[in-house]
Amino acid sequence: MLRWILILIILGTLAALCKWGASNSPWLLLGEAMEEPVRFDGKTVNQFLYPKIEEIYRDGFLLTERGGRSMRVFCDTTGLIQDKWVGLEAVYHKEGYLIARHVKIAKNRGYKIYLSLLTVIFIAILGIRSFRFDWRTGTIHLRPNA
Amino acid sequence: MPDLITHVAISHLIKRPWDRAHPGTHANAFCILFYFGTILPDITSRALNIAFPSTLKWTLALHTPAGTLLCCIILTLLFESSIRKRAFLNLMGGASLHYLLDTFQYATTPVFFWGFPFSWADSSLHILDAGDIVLFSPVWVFFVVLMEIIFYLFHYKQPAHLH
Repeated sequence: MLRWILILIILGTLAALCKWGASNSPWLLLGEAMEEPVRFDGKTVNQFLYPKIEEIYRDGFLLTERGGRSMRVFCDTTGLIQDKWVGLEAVYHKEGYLIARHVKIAKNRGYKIYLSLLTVIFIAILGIRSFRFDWRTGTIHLRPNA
Repeated sequence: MPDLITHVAISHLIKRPWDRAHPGTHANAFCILFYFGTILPDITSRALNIAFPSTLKWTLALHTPAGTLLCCIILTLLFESSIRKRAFLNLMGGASLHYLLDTFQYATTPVFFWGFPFSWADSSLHILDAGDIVLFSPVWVFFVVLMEIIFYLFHYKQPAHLH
């Protein structure tokens, strides 16, 4: 019983830490800036939700986020590639565009995600072979042959 | 983050020689907990972000040493009492290695807050690009296989009473 109370207390602390992190982080998301354009005019947007280069123009590109949000970004287009994920830090303007401070193609991101997924599956299989969860007591035990 | 193959392969290259030098019961099982520790910060945060991008700010705390420490304590409390200490040390050892490797990573914007919740200082050294590191994953796997072959041959050549 004491163990479950401890787990609940630590879970509560973790939830509070997540809430505090979300409220006080130095990150400004594009969605937050677009919701309050006047407040965030001239502020630096430093986190995007999986931003991709939709289309490249002479003076910048059209950025799209997962979820469909898009915005025009002005920057030097040297080295940019269409349909690639991009790392970005940009100044938001309430008129509805961004001026990039840093742009960098996120190389091999899809490859990285699939490789990582394979690794998680591999570790999960190894874990299930070595440990078992006892649903009656809510405890993880070593398997005898581990 | 470097990809998880890189994280796990490097943890194996460190943990396996350590386990051979300090043999104990169920070493392989606890080795898996060490690997799990190395992927824990990313599966509690990045995996959630990929599936649900709007969780980005909420999971920020879970990719910090403080958040991972709490996750490891919760996981440890789920283990039977006789193995909790070893489980905790392996989980935290793996997680510490994860943060050590992430420290070398390049990021366009600050994402590594090792001082959280006391500081928002960026802890990255911005040396290696994760997109470049992932191309080396076959190299890490090669070294893992090579090390296992060497250990196997060394074990095979030892007199039987030392096995």
